[in-house]
Amino acid sequence: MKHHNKRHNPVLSLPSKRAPITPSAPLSRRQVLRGILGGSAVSISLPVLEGMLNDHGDAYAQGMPIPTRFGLWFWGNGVRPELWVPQGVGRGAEWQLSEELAPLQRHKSKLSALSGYTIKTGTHAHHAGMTGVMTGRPLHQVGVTRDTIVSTFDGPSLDMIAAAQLEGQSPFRSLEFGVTRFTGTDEGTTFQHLSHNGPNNPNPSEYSAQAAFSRLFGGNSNLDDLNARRSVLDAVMGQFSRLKPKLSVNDRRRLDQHFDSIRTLEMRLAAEPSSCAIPDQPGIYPDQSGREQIEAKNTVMSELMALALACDLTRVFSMQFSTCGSGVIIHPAGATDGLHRTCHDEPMSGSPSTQPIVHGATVYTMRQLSIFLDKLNDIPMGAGSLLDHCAIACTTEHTDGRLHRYEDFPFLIAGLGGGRLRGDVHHRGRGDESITKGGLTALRAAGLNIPNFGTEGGYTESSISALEA
Amino acid sequence: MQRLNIIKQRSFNALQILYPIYCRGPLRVVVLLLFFLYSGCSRSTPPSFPGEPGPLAGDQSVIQPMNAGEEASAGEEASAGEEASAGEETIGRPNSATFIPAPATLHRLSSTELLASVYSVFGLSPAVTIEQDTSLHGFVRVANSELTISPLLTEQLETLAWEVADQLRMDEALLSVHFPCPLRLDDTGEWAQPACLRSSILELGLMLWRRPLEVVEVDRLLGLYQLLRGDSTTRSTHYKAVTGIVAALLQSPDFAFRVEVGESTSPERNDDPQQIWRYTNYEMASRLSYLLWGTGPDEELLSAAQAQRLVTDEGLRAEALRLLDDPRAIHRFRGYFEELMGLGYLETVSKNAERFPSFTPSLRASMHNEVMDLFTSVVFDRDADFRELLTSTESSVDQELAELYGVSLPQTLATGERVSVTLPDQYPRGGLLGRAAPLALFSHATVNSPTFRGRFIRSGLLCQDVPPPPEGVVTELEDPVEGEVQTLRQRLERHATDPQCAGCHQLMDPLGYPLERFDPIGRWRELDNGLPIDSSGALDGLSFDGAVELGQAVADSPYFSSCMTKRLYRYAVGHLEGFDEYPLIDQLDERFIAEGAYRFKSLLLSIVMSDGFRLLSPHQPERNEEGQEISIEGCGGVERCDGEDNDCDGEIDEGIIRSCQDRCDATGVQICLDGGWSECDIGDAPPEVCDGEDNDCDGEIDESLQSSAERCDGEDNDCDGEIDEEVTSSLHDVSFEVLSGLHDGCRANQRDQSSCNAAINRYCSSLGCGGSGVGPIESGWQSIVVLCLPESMIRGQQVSYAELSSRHDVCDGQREGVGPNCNAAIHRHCNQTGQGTGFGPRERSQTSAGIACVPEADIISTTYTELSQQHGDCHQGGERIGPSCNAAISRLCAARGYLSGWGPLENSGDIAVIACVY
Repeated sequence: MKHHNKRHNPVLSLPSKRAPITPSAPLSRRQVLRGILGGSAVSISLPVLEGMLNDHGDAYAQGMPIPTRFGLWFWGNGVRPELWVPQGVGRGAEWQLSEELAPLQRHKSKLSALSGYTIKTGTHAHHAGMTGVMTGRPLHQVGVTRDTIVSTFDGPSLDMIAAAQLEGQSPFRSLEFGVTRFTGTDEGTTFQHLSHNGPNNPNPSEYSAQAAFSRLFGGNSNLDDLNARRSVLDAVMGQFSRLKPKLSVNDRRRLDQHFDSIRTLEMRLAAEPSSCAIPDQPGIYPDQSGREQIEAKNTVMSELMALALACDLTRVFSMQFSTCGSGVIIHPAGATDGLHRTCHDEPMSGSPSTQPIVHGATVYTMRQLSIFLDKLNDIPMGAGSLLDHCAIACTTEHTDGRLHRYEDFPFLIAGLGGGRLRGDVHHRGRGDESITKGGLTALRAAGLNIPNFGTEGGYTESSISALEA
Repeated sequence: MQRLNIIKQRSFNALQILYPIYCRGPLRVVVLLLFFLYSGCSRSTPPSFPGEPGPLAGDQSVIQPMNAGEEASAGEEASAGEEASAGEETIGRPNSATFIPAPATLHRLSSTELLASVYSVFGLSPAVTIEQDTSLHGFVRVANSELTISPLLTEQLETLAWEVADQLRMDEALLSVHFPCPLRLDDTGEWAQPACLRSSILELGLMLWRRPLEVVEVDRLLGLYQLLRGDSTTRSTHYKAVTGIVAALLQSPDFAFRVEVGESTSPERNDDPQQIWRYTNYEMASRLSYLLWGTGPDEELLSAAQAQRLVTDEGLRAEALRLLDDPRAIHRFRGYFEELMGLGYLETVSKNAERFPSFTPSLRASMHNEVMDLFTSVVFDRDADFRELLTSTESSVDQELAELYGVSLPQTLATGERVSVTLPDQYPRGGLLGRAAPLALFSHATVNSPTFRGRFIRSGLLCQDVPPPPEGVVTELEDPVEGEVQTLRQRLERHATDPQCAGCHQLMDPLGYPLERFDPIGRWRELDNGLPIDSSGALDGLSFDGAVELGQAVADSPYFSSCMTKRLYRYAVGHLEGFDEYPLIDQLDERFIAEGAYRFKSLLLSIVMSDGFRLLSPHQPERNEEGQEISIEGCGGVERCDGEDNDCDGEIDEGIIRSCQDRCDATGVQICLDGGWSECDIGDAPPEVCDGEDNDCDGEIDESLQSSAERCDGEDNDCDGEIDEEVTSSLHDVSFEVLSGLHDGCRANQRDQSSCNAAINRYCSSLGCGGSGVGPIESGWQSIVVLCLPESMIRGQQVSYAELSSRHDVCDGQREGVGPNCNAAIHRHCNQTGQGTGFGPRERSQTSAGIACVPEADIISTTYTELSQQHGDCHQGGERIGPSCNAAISRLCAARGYLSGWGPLENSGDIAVIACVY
């Protein structure tokens, strides 16, 4: 038989070298862990971080601060403004939560509330508010055959602005979860999705607790060969350059966005595997007697997100409690119809004159937000809790779903931004100021260097100093 | 400004309704622009339009350069078609009296298309979550020409790709369908021939990317194979590396996107801006198959593309008809109709649980199915006038829906069972509009909504959009006066009287009122709030009463057919139709009515045959201010082998592989390292053959061949200038293609040992040195290795089964004719007759077996423990006798300096007796 003298050439397992890390790039937590533990492979059940902190408990040993997470918590159809705006202005005892904000009482010390700001980038019902608060820009209309507007975001939403700066520091660039099952109407991505990378490039929310679980903790066994996966992704990325020159400018942009996603995925695989303790499988939440189990679903999605944040699987997240213009039936508030419809049909009554069911739905929604914040606050981190190290913009697309008004736009920042926010503040603007200042404040509270946010009427370079420590 | 004021006084109502008539030609743009300036609804009567062409002028000015469907003449006429003079009204847009095809677009596959495409190629249905599709302008298909692949979907595609790869890796038979390359065994490991791999990649690439792969693309995938295989030479690494190719093919943008670039029909006139561009043959194959089947093209369609038939009228028509005649087309267009009707949203609809406890998920599903079945019946079963959808009283019900409809059934239906019925006359529902699914979909949770129902008809079926209420308008209705009972219709009276509401609501509510006899889940009712129901309504000046007459009125409206044409066109081409496509859509509608007799399939076919489906406008290269094309390389672009991070991903020269020729012209791969290229790695070197050349490229000529043994194969194996002299036994890799030709029962997927023995015998004796053979020594997917013994080494003889069974029980030709007992019987027969040992039966009849004794073979006693070292599956508690042990025995013989061997001749416990030969 033939004997081959010539053997297969040894191929380097990593046919590339890392570009040098620029001095300004912050070290990742894993790099820090490796530094502390001498590079030996260790598996640590998280969240157990105190041992790695300095004496003050506000930073890792070696001076690395605990990272701040940026998040969004969104609900659709606005509030009842007459029962939403807090009483009093200032800090601590100088202000009190309104009836609709009352469920957040236990988080008041970590809350920044805004009133007196508005949308300054258009007036179109729902669309202008959604795109205005999330991107600081006017809506981006798609196609011109319908006057019922089909719109999308003209630029990245707040969370994706944060993700652009924080990517590479944790396995997932961002995570998006949704809660109630009404997933939007055919009026463009604005009415369906919260997180956007740009026009018609949404990051759809994960509505299934089980799918979210398996994405975070599933550890698919056939995906364990990270080197093979990376080699394949490298080869796939090579294919983009063959395709791109053949395409239109617009399609190149679409392809670039997909390319970026693959690059992000490839970088995630290059990171060390998660050493997070794996929680139990979540259950499923079918309707009971035709009613959606909203609170149970919100609780489990909140727990999963809190765990993902505690394990540092991501630094950027969004919780879409309900969509823009949502038709969710908030039955615990006595609703028998979709919220959007109720906003338009329920008569004003009582004193102060309000829409009782819409009001009840808002209170209920704030209770759900409070549950989410509980989950973050229950996780100890440093001298405080995970919530202290978050900056979460909590908002909606309207002040008033009945009249589609934008004045006194509802906007809260939950969390202390790692000490960058004073907390327990109600600040009232002049009334005609752009709500984008709130968005910029939240971004900066996450420690991000953002010189300005928004365009046209939404353009701002200044955050709201009254909220900042 | 004067004109603006005049037009602004025009009724919105009139604009909506007249728009399709007069908005052809230059006026279209003006009117549309005004649409957007004008957001309110007024009730004033439209004044005449002084100084403007009459409503039909636009129609008359339409130049009709192309008959829908006649591609052959398209080229000349379109370029010859004069654009009407662009007046000031055109506001910079080209005159759209002439059809101009849409630009080339990248179409993302939907979640169902992704999974269907995987299924079509591999027959696999991996359980992988794919994110929910987004719908824009009514259709996921349209959204997918605008959306990109989100980061989440990117992850999910990776999971999908590796799940498919993994399932293939675990299923040798399936894998061998796509990678039939035999693995050649040598003592450095198992190797696939690069040429064979290359052709496998080409074939699989054609199916998955729906076009022939270019050489560089194949080279890159071969490079990936080498990279994944690395230094390892085991079979399992080979599997892993080929399935890695599958994972790469599936994650490539060429799979997840339908890439359309097009080609000029007159490439020789390259600089002519008037030249006509069309979709290429392969692009047409995908356009057709994804439109009609929702999955990638089958082999027949790809063959038609290769034969250039899909750019011809006859070829395209033939394939379109073939695809339309397949059940997959029915499934696909049920999906279309589901989207058209918005039925997908039914799943997210909730109803007031106290009032409507019967609105269960199963009832929702049944409502959904009823409407889809009606569509299937009209369009596919009967190929009837499409408007029958609105008038037919046929239905399919299950038990729950029958109860909702008040249909009496002879017997109770089992869960999930459906029957066809005619709806009862006493609750007249008519066609589609009176069916539960749309009635429930376009209602509130507790009460009806004539507005929603009417808006669906107006905008969904007549393509006349109605704007949302303006900002700041109070939309709730006043509370009824205490003690006064009202119907919903009476409460909605303000919609007709308040001028702020009436302009728009009069377009909707009168189309919803005729459905007031059905409650929010579609049940018949006689009273509303205890009062009799007024179900009169009106459409464009025509009055009627109830659901049946409403359905007839909508069916008779010219806007219904034009709307259905427009929607199907939008779906078929997969993008939001542009102004420049309207002239074609108008022609298609005329054809739908005049020639197609309102049959859906005829409309679909004429859309497919039309220029809108077959032609495109090439995209213009991006230019800078000086008019030079802007290069798209640079950051975010292409990584080059130059030591720089060109694509700014933090890695330098990553993943760059190219094919190369080594100094002996073998094809290999080079990997970019730090701006330079690695040595050309040809991987598996070709073998040295006796030809005076350095075939394996190691600097020596015909080296080591002299020490080889001469085999009976018609070649000069020992390179001594003589052929087949003093032949010894020899090993041969023989494909099943050859073997099955020698005996039909010996096939890759049906390896009948008796048939294969005969085939091997015939193969070996045909080599020219006579003799016989035994095997399989090693088993591959498509071939096996056999051991041939020359005539000089064997003593062939015919032995009766009676004789054999006396040597070893069971081998009597009935209970066993070939197998372990006969192995022992044959061995004993040869041995006890002084002829060493033997094998067989080479050929057999009912009563006797042709066997071969081999006096020169050495009989060796070994153990399964030792054999399992050679092949892990051959052990005492395992296979004992079979392909793995055959391989183990041969390898053990080879390890002891023999060429090969067979057995076990006898076995007991751990002991195995085998035969080895030189």
